[in-house]
Amino acid sequence: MNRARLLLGSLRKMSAMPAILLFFALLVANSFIMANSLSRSFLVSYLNNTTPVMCIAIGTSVVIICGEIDISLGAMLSVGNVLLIKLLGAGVPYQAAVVLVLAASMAMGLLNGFLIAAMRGSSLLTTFATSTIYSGLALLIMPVPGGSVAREMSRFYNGSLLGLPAAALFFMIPYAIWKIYKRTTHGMRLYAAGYDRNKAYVSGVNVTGEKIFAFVFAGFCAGMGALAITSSLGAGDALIGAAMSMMAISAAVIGGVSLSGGYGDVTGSLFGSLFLGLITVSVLSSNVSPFVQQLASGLILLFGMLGAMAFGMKSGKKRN
Amino acid sequence: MTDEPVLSMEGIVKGFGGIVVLDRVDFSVRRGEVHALMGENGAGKSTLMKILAGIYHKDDGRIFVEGREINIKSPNDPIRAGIAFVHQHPNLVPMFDVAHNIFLGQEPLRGRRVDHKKIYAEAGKILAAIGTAISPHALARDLTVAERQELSIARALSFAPRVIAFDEPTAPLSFKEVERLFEVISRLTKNNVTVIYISHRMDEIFRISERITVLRNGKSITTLTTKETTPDEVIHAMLGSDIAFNPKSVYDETGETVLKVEGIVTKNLPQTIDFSLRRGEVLGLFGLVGAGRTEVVRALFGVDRINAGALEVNDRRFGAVSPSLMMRNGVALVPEDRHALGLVMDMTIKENISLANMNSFKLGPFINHARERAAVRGLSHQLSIKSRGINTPVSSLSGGNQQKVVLAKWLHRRPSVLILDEPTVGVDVGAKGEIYNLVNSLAKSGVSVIFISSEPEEIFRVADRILVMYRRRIVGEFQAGATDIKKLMAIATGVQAAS
Amino acid sequence: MLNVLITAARNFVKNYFVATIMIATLAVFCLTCPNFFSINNLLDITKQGGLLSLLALAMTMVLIVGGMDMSVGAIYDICTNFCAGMVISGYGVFLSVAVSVAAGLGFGIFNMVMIVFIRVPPFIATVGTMFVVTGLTFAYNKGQSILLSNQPLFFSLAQGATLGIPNIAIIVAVITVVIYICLRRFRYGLYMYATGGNSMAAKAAGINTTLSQLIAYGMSGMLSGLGGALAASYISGSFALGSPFEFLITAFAAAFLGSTLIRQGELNPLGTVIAALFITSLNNALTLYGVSFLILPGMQGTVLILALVLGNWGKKQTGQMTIF
Repeated sequence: MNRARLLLGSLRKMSAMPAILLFFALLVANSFIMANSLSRSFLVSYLNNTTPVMCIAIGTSVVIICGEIDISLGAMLSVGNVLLIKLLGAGVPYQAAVVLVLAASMAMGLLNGFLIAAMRGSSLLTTFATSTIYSGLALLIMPVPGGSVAREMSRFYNGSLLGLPAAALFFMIPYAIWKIYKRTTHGMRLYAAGYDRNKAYVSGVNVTGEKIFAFVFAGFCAGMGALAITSSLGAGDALIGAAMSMMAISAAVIGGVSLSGGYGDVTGSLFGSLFLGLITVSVLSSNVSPFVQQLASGLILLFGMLGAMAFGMKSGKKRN
Repeated sequence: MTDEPVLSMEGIVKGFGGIVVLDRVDFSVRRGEVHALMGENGAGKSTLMKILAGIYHKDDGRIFVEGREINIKSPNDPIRAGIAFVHQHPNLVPMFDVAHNIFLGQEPLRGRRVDHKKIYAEAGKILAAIGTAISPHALARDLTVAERQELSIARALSFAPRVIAFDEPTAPLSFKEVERLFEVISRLTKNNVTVIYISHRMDEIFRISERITVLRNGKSITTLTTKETTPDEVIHAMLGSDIAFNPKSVYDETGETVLKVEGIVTKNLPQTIDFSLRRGEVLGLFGLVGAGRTEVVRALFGVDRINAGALEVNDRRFGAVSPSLMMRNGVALVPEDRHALGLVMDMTIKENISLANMNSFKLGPFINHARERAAVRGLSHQLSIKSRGINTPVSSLSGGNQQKVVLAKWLHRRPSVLILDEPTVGVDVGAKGEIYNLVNSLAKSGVSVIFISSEPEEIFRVADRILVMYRRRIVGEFQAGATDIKKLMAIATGVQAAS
Repeated sequence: MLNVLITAARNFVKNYFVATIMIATLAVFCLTCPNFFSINNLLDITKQGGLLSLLALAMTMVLIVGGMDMSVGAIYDICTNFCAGMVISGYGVFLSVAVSVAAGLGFGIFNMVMIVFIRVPPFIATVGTMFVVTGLTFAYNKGQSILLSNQPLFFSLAQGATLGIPNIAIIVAVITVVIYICLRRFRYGLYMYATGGNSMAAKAAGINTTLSQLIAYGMSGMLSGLGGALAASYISGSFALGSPFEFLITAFAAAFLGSTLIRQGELNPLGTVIAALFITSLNNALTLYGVSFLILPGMQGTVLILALVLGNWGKKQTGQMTIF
């Protein structure tokens, strides 16, 4: 009996708990609204659509954990998307194009990291500014949506790999990298740097270096998201990532990542993204008037965030 | 200067969690005098002042202002009663200018509008009354530490107080700035404002105070008239005895030098610091508030930049250091404020210890969790850390056990030099003894320890050699086996020159 | 005589570095782009800049108390819709504008409740509001633009002029002066700055920091609402899809650029409006040069970064730790 209580207690302390609960609650609720909502085909296509946001959510979470915030990831994803289409359209071989896109994303992340970590700028305002710059860049590269990709890419994306949806590969790679990184000494230092910059410095942590890594990694995640969405859409659209930054942050907050840094994990954000994606689907398939749908989504999102924050406060964290 | 007290605190009692911090303390000051309040760390001075300031609530006792009893429930009450404070770290609005900081919250109005002209005019008057050169238009964020203090004094004066209490005002000041402060204080008393002066610096107290009240262990011991007493008598009152008990027996170790500090100068240590440390030696660094001990530590560990001089650690010479560099060279620091600099409160015991010890738990680039757990358990046992297991969050431990976690964190690295900054602050008597024993056994195993403290008994018990600091300089040295606490205090309060 | 002038000029440049650059930039525009300097163009800039100024002022108020309002653009959009919708339904001009402002205030109160009473961080709370308000906009206008015609009184609000001066300019000027006076002359204005500067010191001095925040978020909502109503008048209706993000970047950029214009580097309403006008001129000139409008937000983002760097740089020189 005590063991069960201990287990429950430690489950309750898991930061990802609210996101997981919300997701499954909505999944169950949705099964009443929508027919076939638990069918494999639905779930797979839903996962495919949510993958790009999940990629960005991973990057966003890591940056928040290290004590900063990055709202330019959606714009970076847009750049990656149009860049990939343009390169493929120009005849660049697939592998080279992928490498270039990832490199470009990481370069943009490096710029963010440099501006913020080295110059101690405010990360919210700075990444807001860089998001406008990157969006502009994406629009310059491709002012009008268009282009196409080889059929194989879409088929690969929508198909399966070893029985699992192939799309999952795109977010599993950054996820795996993060999980490995977290187990190394650097991972702990990242958390410490986010929790208290000065404390970490006195303990010998290279705060600037860890933060720059976080931003570059976030850029990499945006690049992976760009690859994912390009394979999924089969075309380029400079505005595709516009709303994703905010969704990723909401996903992170719902996922239990504390905005003050040093707490939480990416797993929660993944479930947060799934929850958000499911909101859109549920609202779409419910009988709510199409005009109210966006409002409904917004309200659910708001309550999701508030709920997650309240949960975080109640399980004994007195942090703002 | 009349004889009737302008402020009188009678029978003040205050306890925290069962421990009595103030035991029926009496304290009264006369109009227009400078009255010093002295005592060792932990004697109860700051608690008494915090009760007066409305930050703490007294458990018993009464407070009278000019014969009328007052009830202090919040920081506004003493101000209304005419008592103002100049704290060590004033709270200012950086982007406002001096005049507006002075009148923050009590701006003079003309009808409904803020009377800026009057603010500047009145501020000018107050600043002139203090005799400072600060302009009312200067921005608060551009002021030096001494100027911020003058701003703080000006703000206190803006309430037209009868009594102003200064808390360790000269700690951050240079010599010239201290002279300035004394001029200000003498102007205040000429205008019949009473000054309460809390300080450790004997020479200053004997210069400007008329009476001295000494507290010891939460009791008011005596009130002396400065002109009729001597520093010796004051120290005797502060200590209760002149001799240390349980001094460390003479320690014979002629090991090689592991640390040499040569001519170090930083922005907080304007005069050079020199000392050296041998293997297996416990070097005590003794001094009272503002003496400069923490500044020495910050210089050693590279938190403050070294502007001149060099450090030699294990025969390697450095002109510039950083925390990670010192850690790599075998120097470990257990900082004074374990909340700010030592522990990550939300993390568990295991996580905190691991944080600084990554390298030894590595398996390639990964953390070897099994080895981590084993090492942490071992340390936990060695230090007798009482907890419900290594996965307990440190915030739930007692002060003494928290300090042991901090020790464990650094012990694992097997440093050559371990710097302990006030390690027994807030630690109960039992744990204190355990920490002393730990320090001794560390030294025997070859670790050199720099033990910083402001408790005379403690430092005599633990150290092989004691350096005394005063006004950011090393002013004296004692050898093991010394017992003369009075002499230690005399040097630490500036009464005597080097031993 | 010449020496005196040169010294004066040099001092001006040293103390008002940013203003000098702004003037120089505008001079370059005037010289190299004939269409820029035309009366019509300048009037357009004034009107558009005026609209954006209201948003920037809203953001400035909130930044002064140390907060942030990401919902200003969304409130602006929805109030444009509300106002246009009411005008076309026959409610009078006055009522339509009043309802817009009231709606803005309502959203501001919504923000206030979350931030001040539930203690949600301003960023999260106002982003949430932004999402909700955007959704409400869509629910309200059902994806349709509203086109107004034959509303001379209403149009004259934003498109007309009095004694040759555009009405928008007059309205914005009056509002700016009022805000300026309130911030400088009245205690509660001073307390708002104190709350943002060091809320602990403010509280210790007995200042009601909660009240300061309430005023800030309330005013932010109202100003955004008013801006929306005037926008409806200016474009004779409302668009189906707004662009809240673009407004946000302009609001931030104008607020921070405006803060670099005065010596102390404080946020101030006058600087914000001047900066908003400058940014509008920048957009306008670049468009006239033929630069694609797509990169204008990015250009404003660069302005924001430069303003932040300049602002920080000045503070670092005096040894101050920035509180960002």
